[in-house]
Amino acid sequence: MTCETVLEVNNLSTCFRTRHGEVRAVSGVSFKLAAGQTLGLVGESGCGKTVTALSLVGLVDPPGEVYAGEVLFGGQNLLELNKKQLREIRGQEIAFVFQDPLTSLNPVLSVGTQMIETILAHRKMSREMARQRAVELLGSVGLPDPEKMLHRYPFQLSGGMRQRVMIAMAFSLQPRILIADEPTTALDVTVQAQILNEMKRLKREFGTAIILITHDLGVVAELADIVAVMYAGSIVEMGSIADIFINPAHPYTQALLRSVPRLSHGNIHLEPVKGQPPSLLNLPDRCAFLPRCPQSKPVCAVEKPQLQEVGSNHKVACHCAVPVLQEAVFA
Amino acid sequence: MKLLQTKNLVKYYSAGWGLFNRAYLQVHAVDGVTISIEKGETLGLVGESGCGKSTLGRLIARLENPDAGNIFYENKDITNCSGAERRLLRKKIQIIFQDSYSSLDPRQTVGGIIMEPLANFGVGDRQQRKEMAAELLQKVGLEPLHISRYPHEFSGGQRQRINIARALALTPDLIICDEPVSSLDVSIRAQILNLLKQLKDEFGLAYLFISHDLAAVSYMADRIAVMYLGKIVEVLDADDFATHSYHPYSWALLDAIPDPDLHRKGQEKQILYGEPPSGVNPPKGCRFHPRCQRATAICREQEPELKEVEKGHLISCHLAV
Repeated sequence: MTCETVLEVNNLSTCFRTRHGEVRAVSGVSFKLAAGQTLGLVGESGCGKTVTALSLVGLVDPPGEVYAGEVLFGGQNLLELNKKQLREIRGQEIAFVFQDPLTSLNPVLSVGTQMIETILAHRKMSREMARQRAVELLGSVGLPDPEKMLHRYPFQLSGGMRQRVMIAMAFSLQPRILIADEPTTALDVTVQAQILNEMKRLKREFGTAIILITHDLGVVAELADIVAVMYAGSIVEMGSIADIFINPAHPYTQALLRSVPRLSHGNIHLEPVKGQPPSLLNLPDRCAFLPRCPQSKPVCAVEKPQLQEVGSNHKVACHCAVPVLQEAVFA
Repeated sequence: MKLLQTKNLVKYYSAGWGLFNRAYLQVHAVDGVTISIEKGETLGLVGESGCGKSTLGRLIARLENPDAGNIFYENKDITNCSGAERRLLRKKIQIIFQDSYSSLDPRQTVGGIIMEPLANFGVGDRQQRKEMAAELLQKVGLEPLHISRYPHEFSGGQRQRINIARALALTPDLIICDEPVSSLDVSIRAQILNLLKQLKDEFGLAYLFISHDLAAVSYMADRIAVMYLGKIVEVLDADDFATHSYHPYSWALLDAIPDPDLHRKGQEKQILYGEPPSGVNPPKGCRFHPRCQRATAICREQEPELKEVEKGHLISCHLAV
């Protein structure tokens, strides 16, 4: 990859100190993101996808704490910045789109007010110019009649329209990174296709890097360039789209792919991942996937596997990993 | 043999009075639906939210009364059956809802929840009912010792299993599954889908499987019915859906699914623009025409009928030949 790296995350670790012990939501996550690249972060609920994203920009509230690692963005370590500096970066350089647009929009302010406020908070321009910019942006995400849209309130919009407003707001300051946390999960498939299309277009236009968090492997395949599969707070496999979907090396990735019904596979029997994901409370020092793994070795119970290269830019954290062909997975 | 049939089923909901013209507004939730479900068959019902899928399911389960049309169960008209008859129907037709939590009484133990339908119909004595509940729990992949626990002690997937156990308790012929896996995690989804499939074979059940997830529906169903704005627009074999569906809306649904298969990625996709229109003022002519890329003059004027174009393949489109 020749593009410049916009974000480098090294050994990011976040825990929540609760009465019952330490919940290690994120342990030792590292990745690099280049300009214009989309990283898909996939995994089951509770595997630490969202906490990873929140940790990047200092949005983890107590009792949560980022206790190790560094997040390098534009030569600065974001974890060492104070609140004011972070606020400058959030919104302006790193923008968020959340799953539920209704709770992330202010219900008592019109769409226009919220957008203009966001733009004016970070940019020096007249109110009228900010208004024009808002109209432009609303039009660019495919909302009909953007002038009128300024006077609408969130409750008057459908879920898809709200999510478009959120995306327009996120792009209003031309961020270098967009963190999209399950942006289409609450939407209908047809609306989801529209939103994914908009995101693809905006990514091309602005060269924004995207961190896409989702549990839907289809959405990842649609939008992402590289995929990181998370399990119990760690990345267990990372590689290009083709690596993950055609040559998945980690047993968890393979199991995940086998458990999703796909149209093109017709009635091939689904194999759910057996058992439950482990509790992150006092996680033992071994491979977290061990209890559910079909191909474990004795070493798995003793040592936590580290990410290792199994191909160019394809890394796996597994003691038994050998790249397999997709045919083998569905045999 | 046809287990269940609907004929021109209609259900409108009131949406209040219009703001200016003082016209009475109605949501055309289900507007003339004719479908049938064979014994032991799974009929998949897909469509966007608000197209009337759930209303149709509730009508068939007799949780709502239709405004017009008929429902036949084993060739007997059950549209206007008496309360007592309807009570007996509960034994034959059961329903599983999407929200596994709110469909379980939080103050009842799992055993109480599963035994309640049995007690209602006076099946066995207390001891026997308890044994049956324990057996049902095992059938759906839970432990018999879970019988004395409360719903809040279970995860979403486990709660859905309890719902399934309760639906099975009276050994029904037809279970209406209204988005049973939509709120579950990916890996749990596969477990529940497989469980439903396995129980179908074991008990000879028929399902009406309602979902917006086309991939899940085609995995479960024998036949698929596509619904748009209160009407069925296409019915065909599940195996043929990806290759032989004809209605432009079915294509749009297929294209909207993000598929992890890379060889399909390069293909140009047709994206359906616009919001799904509301059922308050359904468009004149073919209801899909404002979003259809192939709409012609006749589509704007005349409403197409659901016609059989080849054996077992019904389409409601003027352009179908």
